[in-house]
Amino acid sequence: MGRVRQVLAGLTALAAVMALIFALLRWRVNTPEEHLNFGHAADHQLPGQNDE
Amino acid sequence: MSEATPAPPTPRGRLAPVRVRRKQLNPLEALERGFALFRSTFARDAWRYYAGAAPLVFCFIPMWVVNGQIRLSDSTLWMESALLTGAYVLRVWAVASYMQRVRERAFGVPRQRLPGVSAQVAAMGRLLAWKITLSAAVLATLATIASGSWLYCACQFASLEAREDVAERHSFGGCIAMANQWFGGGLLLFVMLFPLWIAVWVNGFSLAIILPQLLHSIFGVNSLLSTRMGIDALLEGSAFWLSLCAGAWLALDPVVKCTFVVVYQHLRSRRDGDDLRGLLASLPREQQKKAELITSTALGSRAMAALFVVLSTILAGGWQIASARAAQAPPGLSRPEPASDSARQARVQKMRQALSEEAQRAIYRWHDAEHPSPPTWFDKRLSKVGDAINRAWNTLRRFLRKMWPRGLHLSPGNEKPGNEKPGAWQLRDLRFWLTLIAILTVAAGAVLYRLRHRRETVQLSIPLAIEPLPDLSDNAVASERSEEEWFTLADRLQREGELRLALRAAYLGLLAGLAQREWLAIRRDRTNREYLEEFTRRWLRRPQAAAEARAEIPEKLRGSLRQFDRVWYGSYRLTPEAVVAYRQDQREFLNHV
Repeated sequence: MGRVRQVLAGLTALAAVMALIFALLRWRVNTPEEHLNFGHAADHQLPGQNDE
Repeated sequence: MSEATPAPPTPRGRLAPVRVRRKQLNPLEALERGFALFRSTFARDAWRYYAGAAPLVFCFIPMWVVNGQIRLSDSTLWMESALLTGAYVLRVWAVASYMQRVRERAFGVPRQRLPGVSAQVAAMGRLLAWKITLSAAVLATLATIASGSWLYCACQFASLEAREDVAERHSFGGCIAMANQWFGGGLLLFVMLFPLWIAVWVNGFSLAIILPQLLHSIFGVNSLLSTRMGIDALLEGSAFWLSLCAGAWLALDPVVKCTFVVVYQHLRSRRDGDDLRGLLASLPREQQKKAELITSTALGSRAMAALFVVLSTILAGGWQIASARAAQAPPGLSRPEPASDSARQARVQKMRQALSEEAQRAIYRWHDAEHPSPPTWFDKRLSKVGDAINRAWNTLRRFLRKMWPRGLHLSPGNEKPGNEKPGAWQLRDLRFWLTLIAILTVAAGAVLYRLRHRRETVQLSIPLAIEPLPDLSDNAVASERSEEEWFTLADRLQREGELRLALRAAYLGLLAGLAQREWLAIRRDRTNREYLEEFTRRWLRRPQAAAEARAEIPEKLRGSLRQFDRVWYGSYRLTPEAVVAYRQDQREFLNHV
């Protein structure tokens, strides 16, 4: 009985970790603008300078 | 007879400082031993740690990068989460195995092999539940430092205890209690680890920034990171900072684990009473060192005495020889010892031999200093600080225990018999709690009032920060705001009845718009006529000017500037409608250029 309880406790904790990781990844996917903002990098270009 | 024994007083005299020094393991000493243990076990056991920790890092960072670039479905995210959770389980299991192996190799404590699959699964469940709970508690209390370090220690001990299933049942609370025994040392160690983490982090950061530049300047290797934009993009990406932190963590974490193996062995040793036995076992070594010291000193003094005797013999002749013989006679008379003394000496020798053998056991290895140098001032200072923290912690615990109402005792059988009824409230408890609640309420009220007051101050300060008007008398201020901002200001001023200023703001908006389109350059020393000339010159130079030949645009600008001059420098009276019309004219004009 004790072992079953320990296994259940472990699984519950693991499920909590998985949910936490999912929430983190979903936040990451849903907020791309915070990670893809290259405006600051582009500001350093001189007028007329083109990297293409 | 035992009182006359010469041997015990000397070690007893040395026992007190030794016991004081070894009462608690110094955090610096623990870290030093952790480094030594990591070094000595690196070749055989370190791969376990890295094999367990690397998959989590090498899966998480690419996922982090990809998820920031591509929109993924929820099912894909669940799959990623399952993969990362599996990597986490692998890490927990591998790190616990690493710590147990290191402990086995260093201290000879055999790993326990669990019988049956069910026992192994239960041990794994126990390990995960303890580690995850304690890790979450560490993260939640990290800001308090003290609680964070306490739970962090408990989390490390859980790696060693959770997988054991022995007669002495380990428990979650047992890990916390063990961390409690080393609270001061744990806190100091936690604080000492921060500079190490920062040092490794800064090294990684410098390498990431400098290495591409060095490759570019020495070998001519061009990469994205050797450009300014590449560096900026790198610094703005969260994946870079994440990788840096993960690298610093991976570099130091195995050393930390080895340190906690040493600390755990120390605490277990103290708990089992081996600490006392270890001290006892160290006595023969101390005695042996002292005996060697005495022997060497005695040899030196004997050599000096012999030299003196030879000189005396040469100088004084045979009479001195006779007196010397007479002087040597008394010791010869006392040489025969009683039989009981020799038996006692034999027993003492036997006991010392037994203690010496006992001291060679692996469990006492942490007692044997691999660095037998005496403690430095820093060690002493750390010990003092650790003791002070422990005392303060114990005082706080006693205080909290006293505060705990007796009616809320979980085990009422602990009450002193005859004094109070278990489970009964006392009036002083009630008074104390009422006082405490009143104090906390007043404190919370004060904090709320302060926060509210501050918020009101902030709310008041925002409009004040926006309100001040720019100096509209200067043309050069036109370049300080955008075209839209000037027209917004003109609208606001017109609504406030400041018609001249509103017209001036619209005029500055016109200049700002033309400057943004590079039709003119705003300078403090230029007049409207010069602005008009510059605009006309540039307008006529544009490529399509020859085919189009639209001269009405410069004329329109001339009319606008003249209208403004009449109002600003003349005495024309303005109406709100005229201001609105002027503002709209300027906007339309800017749309055509």
